[in-house]
Amino acid sequence: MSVLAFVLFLQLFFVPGIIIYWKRREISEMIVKIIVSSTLINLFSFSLILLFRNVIDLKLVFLSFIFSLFLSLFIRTLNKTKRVSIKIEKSDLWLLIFLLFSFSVNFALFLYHKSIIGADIGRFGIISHAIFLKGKFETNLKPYDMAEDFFYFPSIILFPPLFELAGIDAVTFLSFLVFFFSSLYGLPVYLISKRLFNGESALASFFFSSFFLNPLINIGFLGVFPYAISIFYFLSFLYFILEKNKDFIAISGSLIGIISFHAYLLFLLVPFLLSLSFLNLQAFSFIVNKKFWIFLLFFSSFLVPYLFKTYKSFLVSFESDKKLDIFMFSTFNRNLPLIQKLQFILFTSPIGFSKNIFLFIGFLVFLFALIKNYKKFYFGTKFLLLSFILSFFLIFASFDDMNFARSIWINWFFYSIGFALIFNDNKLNLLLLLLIAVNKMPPSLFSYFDLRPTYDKGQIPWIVWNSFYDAISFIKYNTSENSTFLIDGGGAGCTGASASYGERIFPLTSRKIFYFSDYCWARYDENEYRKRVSLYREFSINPSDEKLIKKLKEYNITHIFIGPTDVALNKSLFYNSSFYKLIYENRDFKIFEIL
Amino acid sequence: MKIETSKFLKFFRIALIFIFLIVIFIFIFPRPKILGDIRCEKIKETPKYCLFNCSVSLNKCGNFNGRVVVTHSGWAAVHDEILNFTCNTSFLLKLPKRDYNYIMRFGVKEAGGFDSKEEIIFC
Repeated sequence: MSVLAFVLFLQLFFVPGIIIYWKRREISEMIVKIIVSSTLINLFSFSLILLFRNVIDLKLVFLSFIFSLFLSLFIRTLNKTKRVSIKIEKSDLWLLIFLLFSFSVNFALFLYHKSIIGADIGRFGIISHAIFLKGKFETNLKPYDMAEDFFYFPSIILFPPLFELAGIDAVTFLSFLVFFFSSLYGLPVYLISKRLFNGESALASFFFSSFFLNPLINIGFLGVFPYAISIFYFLSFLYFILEKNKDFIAISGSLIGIISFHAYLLFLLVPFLLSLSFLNLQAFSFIVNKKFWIFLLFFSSFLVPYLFKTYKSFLVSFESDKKLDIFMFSTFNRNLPLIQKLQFILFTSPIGFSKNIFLFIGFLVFLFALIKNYKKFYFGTKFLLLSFILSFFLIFASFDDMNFARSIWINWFFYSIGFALIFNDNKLNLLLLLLIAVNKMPPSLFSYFDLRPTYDKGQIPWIVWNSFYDAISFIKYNTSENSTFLIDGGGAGCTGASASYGERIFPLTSRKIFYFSDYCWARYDENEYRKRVSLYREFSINPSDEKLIKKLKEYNITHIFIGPTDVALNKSLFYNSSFYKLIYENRDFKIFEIL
Repeated sequence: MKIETSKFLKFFRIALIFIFLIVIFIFIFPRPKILGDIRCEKIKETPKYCLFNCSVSLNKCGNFNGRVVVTHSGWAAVHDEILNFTCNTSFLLKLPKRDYNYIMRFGVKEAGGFDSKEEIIFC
């Protein structure tokens, strides 16, 4: 099964692109174009086949595989770029070494932590597994989840169930995807830097963006992984529009990549497009090129079948009730005083490290690097400065909105190029890498090895406890397939996680969970949601109340799952009750059966 | 032909500037002000629960649809209730005793907008 998953992964992100771009570009550009165009062609193929045959099975994979091969061959004939022999020059060799090292560190992080945290991934695991069990793509997730209709970006919804066919659960697949894209994050930064600064600081840009200021792994690790993956496509698009010879497949592919993983990043494109239009109107001319619009419209048409299935909830996240959902759960960035707001926008990582000293240094180094190189690289420095200023205004204006506040990651991109313009000696950088590796200073990539599960009550841990997988394994092999688990932490707003990570029980074991969430991206029965919250609260006060146990049984709840930071469900009340039997316990997790 | 392209490009540039300004305007457009305050007073405590008497006082009188949510970890609610707020609205709230700082938020929708305010309650 894992062989099938490997083949599927190659197909999704490599095969169509290799057919189109092999030996057509230099190595770094070729890799980015291969990935971007493969995503595009596969999304198009899967959506088209799903339109005529809405069955999630291996036949779908096979048919779309064949279709995408034909489509790639057709596009290859349209691609008039001359073939070039692949010569590995000294700079390419350094790049390949850095790239390989970046992949190794990210892969080691994946093996070490097994998965990224649950904030979003557990919820998307639920969606994927519900679609997989239903065997067809539909937006009503009942009876596995309370969502009756939803909209989310297509890649996150369409790809994971395919890997479930290959025996890889969505939590593992999506985690791997984040680490995979994190290892590639430096490539578009390298290309942009090469284009803007004639290659002088390109390798150093890869170095600083991959190993030191890597927002993709930061955002991915700590929650919003679709947004994180979208960053790769965002920066690729930025490079493709800066490229002298415009490649409209790559431009359309990266643009659709942004939309298909997390379209909120489109908003951040405005400052860059505006800067380009001010500084080089000719470079901006792709916007009036017929070819660009033909490719974009052709490939965007894959969105039609997807939108046809999800149109009822297309703008659900923008409805005032759903906005209120978010603000009922977090108002942090909304209530900051001006100075703190500026600190957060300029010197804070999207999630995790607040007011980091290296980001402050990065800001100063970025400004210094622009002044130092102003005459030498007139366009590059002006483009970055103007984009930085416009982005700042946009982020400042939108900072109150949690979804847009994440855009502060863009500073990491600017600062890493700033560092690279000053420290562009590769040998010196290797020494720096060694120092970073030894000291593990955040936000270094190596510092993520030091993330540990927290035992603070009510805190959602960044990392899942190892003992969690032991509990999951017990559930998988020792409980009935008809079991339903009431999980400690209950439910979580939007895509958030519960404190026990119990929502992962469903995608990992197929056992149902009693879960409630005031989705900010889906339609659901709000009365039922409030009924469940109320039942959960009353039950947490007195789990031995017979009336409440009867109500739980009406929901077919058979087990209680309590994690190490038992926030509402008090373990001791279950140990001493005659209504429950402890069937599993390890250091952190307890599972009680309702008698 | 070059002149036409250039005209088009300038048109797109102006369109982008408009988009940029409109987005900024939308975001900084004044939101409804916080309509009041929320206070909770513990009136009973047992080994299993705490009982609070909470009151919401609004700056502006009238009938407003609102919501009260108590979270017991990052994004997870242990209490979620729709209420109709008038000038002063009070309600009782029972929370499990866990020696824990719960976060209570109340939000009021007004003129299509909304805002929320939070209060930490220990039980």
